[in-house]
Amino acid sequence: MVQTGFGAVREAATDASPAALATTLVLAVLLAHAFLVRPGLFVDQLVGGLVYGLILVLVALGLSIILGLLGVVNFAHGAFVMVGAYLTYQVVVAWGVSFWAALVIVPVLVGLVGVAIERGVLRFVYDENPLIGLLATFGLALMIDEAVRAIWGGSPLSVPTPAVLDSSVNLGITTIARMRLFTVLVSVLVIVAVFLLIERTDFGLSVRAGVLDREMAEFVGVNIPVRFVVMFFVGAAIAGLGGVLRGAELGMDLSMGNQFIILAFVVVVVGGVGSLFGSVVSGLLIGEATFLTPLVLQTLAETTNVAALNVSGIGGLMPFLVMIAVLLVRPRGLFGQEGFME
Amino acid sequence: MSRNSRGTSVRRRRFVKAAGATITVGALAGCSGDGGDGSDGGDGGSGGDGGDGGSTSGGGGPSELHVGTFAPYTGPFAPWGEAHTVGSELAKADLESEYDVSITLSEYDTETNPSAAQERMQRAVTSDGIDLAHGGVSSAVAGSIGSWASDNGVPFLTQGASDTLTGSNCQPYMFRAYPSNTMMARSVGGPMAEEADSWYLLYTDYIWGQTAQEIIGTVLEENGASVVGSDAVPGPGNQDFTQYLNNVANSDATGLAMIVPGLDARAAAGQIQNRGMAEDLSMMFHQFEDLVMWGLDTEAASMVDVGPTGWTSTVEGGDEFAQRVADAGETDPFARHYMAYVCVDQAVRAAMRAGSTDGEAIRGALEGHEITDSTLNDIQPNATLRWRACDHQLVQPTHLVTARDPGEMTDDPYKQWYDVTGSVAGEEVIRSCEETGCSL
Amino acid sequence: MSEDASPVESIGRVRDATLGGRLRKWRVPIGLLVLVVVLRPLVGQPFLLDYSPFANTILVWMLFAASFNVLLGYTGLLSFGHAMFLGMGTYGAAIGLARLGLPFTVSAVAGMVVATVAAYLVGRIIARKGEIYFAMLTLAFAEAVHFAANQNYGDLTGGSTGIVGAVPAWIEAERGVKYVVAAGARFDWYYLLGAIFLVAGLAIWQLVRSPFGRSLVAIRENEDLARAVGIDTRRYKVWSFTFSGLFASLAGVLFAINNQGATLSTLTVATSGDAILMTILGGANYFFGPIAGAFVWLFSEEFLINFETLVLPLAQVPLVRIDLAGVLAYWQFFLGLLFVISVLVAPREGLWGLFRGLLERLYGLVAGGGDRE
Repeated sequence: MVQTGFGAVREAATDASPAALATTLVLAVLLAHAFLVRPGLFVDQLVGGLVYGLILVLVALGLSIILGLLGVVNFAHGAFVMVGAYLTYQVVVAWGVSFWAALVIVPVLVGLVGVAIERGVLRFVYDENPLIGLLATFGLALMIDEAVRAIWGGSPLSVPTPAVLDSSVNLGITTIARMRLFTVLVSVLVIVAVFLLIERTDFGLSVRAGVLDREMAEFVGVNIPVRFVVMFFVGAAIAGLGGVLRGAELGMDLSMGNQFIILAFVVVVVGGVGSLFGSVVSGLLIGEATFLTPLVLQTLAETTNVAALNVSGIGGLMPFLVMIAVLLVRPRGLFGQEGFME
Repeated sequence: MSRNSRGTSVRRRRFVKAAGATITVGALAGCSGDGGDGSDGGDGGSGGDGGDGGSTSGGGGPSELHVGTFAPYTGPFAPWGEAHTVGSELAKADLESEYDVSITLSEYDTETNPSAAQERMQRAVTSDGIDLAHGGVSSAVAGSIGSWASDNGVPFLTQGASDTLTGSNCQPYMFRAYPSNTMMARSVGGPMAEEADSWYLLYTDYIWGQTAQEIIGTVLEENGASVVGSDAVPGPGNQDFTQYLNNVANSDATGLAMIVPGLDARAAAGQIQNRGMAEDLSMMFHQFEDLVMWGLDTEAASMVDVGPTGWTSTVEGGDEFAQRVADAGETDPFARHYMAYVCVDQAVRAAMRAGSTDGEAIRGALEGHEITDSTLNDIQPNATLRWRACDHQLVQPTHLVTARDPGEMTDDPYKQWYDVTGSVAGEEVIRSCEETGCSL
Repeated sequence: MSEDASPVESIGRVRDATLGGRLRKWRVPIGLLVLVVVLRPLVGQPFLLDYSPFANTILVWMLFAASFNVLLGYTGLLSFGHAMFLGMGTYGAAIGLARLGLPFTVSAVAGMVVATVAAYLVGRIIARKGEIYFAMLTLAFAEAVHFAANQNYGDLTGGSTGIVGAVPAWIEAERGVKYVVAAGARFDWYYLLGAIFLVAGLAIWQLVRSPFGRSLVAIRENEDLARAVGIDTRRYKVWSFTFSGLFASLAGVLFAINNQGATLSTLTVATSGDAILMTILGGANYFFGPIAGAFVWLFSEEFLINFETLVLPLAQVPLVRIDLAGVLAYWQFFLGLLFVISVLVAPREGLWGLFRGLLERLYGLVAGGGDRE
């Protein structure tokens, strides 16, 4: 179920059709052109896109784990992110705990919320049509939205960050806000940790076995339900962590849940359902697309003098355009597997 | 998903409805349910409550009024809702002591969603029987409510700032109490050009932002400055300005204009502060609202070099009113408190002058009316306030604010972080009647 | 017909011939008629919503949900972007009326044609994709439409303000109540809306009980098997999507009249989400499921937000007063809970299925268990 990435990339590259090669060439030319026209800005946006992409990966990774390993379409994932953000407010502002402690406490709390949902609702839908799970979590997301509104109110909130994370740091080629850099570091750590957990530990091995053939795995003595719970905990906790970081940087409001579930789903679908590596790649791809496309269009408009090319606000639409483009060419996403979720 | 509202209906109205009271536009306002049956006596104060307080037998005007406040109580503009309520209540208190009238206030959540807001308005008028309506921060909402209200004979005073409200979308019974986008843009263009020669404009990608950006760009160029770049930012409700600030940092702009509403502006200011960009750039915040900056620390809040606004607590003459607001509510006084007060005050006074709350009557009472006899004149003593007849715009000064140094920002007795550096009379910057595109 | 008719068939035909049987066979048209007749007075009751024009809103959403169910309930396809067809209908009607100066009927038809063609094209592009990819692609297209509308190309859509005050010439509004004024007659808009709703509902009913509809159900139940028996599943999916879009755009046109214009909110993800909620809550398996779901959702929203004190047993004889104002403000939480429970327990049954089940059991009790299913 979990693709090891490089083999897939090599496969994709050798299978590429002339059309795919042509498209890649055109993209390369456009990017090079943008770089030549506005080099400083290009680097800024490149790094910015990378950072944003890693944030997307962090948010989507939990969803991808739950989807890829457990076969559950967790529509409440965005709500987990939002709960993580609001719990950060609660922990830091209302209870006066330090931000660093919150960084550990809140994901655990969100993980527990995830476990409660898994035990209370989702374990009844494992063997059914994935649509059922999707709808059930859809309803749960609504409930969580309302609960958050009931507890913390309708106004957007914010959390004070430790002084060391304020202001920005100059990396030579670009300047980046410290909070963002911190988020990048955390994201990378999490991605590596998840990879190690799933690919390199016995625990991960038994989970993968359970996903491939649950009956057989249980037959040889693997306690599958416990493992599923643990993985759900991990998935939810990662979402919560994403919420902490995002909330600390940009504040929290009630639209976070819906906003993030959509983005997370786009990332997972583009990467290919069932592939964690795919989620990482697609997150970065979408991040870069969101940041670089406006620049590419702007430089193109400048050079060709066709002002209409510079479509205002296209950045927000990019994730969806990327999804349409990718799914048209590769109907299962970048690294999706046949028969999964179909 | 659709969010609920905080519409607190006046349940007694339902009995009036059920009793078969039919409401028609043609009839006099008295038939909209106010007065006429003792059970609606609400909050005392209407001594000798004679018949239907709205007949044209002028005299003292209606003795009972039901005013609906339409504001965002949820969503990205939620903090603005409370200001509407507090401002309305202060106006109600003043009016009830001056006139022999009993005013009921009802809140309706617009959710910053024009369809939902229109539903609330329909219900408020048909079911709850409001006589007068005010509010609407988002111009899309204001336009939607205003259009319906005018089609149905209900006067509506709004705080929305987009030009279209007194332009292509102007309505016979809608009046606008906030300076228009053009008025603010024209007021600030000159000072902006003095602050810096080359400006970058970041504007939120909806009608308010799009129009403001166009006008400010034009005015800047008229004043000798240049626009080196302009980007549409997603929102309202967007907090991530990274790539747009990258664009700004990589341009030769010496000034940055944030044409971004509400809490998006707060998020942007935070990010600008974190990147240290505020030191090198002159900062302008369009349609400036103190509330936005109060959520930041004083260091960040001091980045505002120039910003046009309808009112702020440091406007000359406003300290008494500001004190009352500070005592009454949770939020420190800012523009919206004042504007809500203006709307309720003017709507009720017009009803008193006209002797009815019928749309045509209110229109007649407001069009061309210069405000000289209201408590408003105490709050803004040196201003000319006049309701223009051709487009229903309240001609009033636009105030230009600048931030105090962090050390001088005081929170006591209420937040005073911004000073007024100049005021531009409405007459000087208002569009001519032809320019508005309004045909009333 | 022939001598070989099995006993089961004969019994079936006999049953059909009885009054109960005929009522059963025509339950959908009868139900629709009853609904249209009863809804407005019901909603206008003082102890309920006390606001009869709300029935207009409910009918339009019912139609929207019913159109969505053609896709979800009957074909088994989940779409996250159904709002785009609603929006196209609304904007089509409003743009034609307000920007192009065309008469309303022309604008409405134009809007519906555009939406239907769009549905067909999008359907063709995405029909072959797997479930989740299909759903996400519908979302992507819907977001693109929303984006385009916000850009206000050619100043047609009015951007974030939308189109305000676009009313057909034959509609007059008075203090919240709309009247149709035509050919000397003057009657409440609700009746015309109800008539259109009835016709559309019957059209949908005919669609789903026709051989076309049955093939859709076959596809829903087991797509591989359907393909094996020779059904061109892709083509049927595309047409299901197209018809679904058609009826959604009709709902959009009616929406434009109700709201006197067009706003961006008709194109948002939230609106698509509402369609899903209403349909599943009501019960995707039944024709009346989404209709019931729409009613429950909208009714609850209007009813519960103004509900402050629950007085038992009667307002005139108050024994117990429960202050629910705070709690009921979060009614979506409870409806969400109901939704989750219904999805877990009986995913396709919903409230309507539950209701029907209750009725049938009651009937069984009363009728003495004579007529077995």
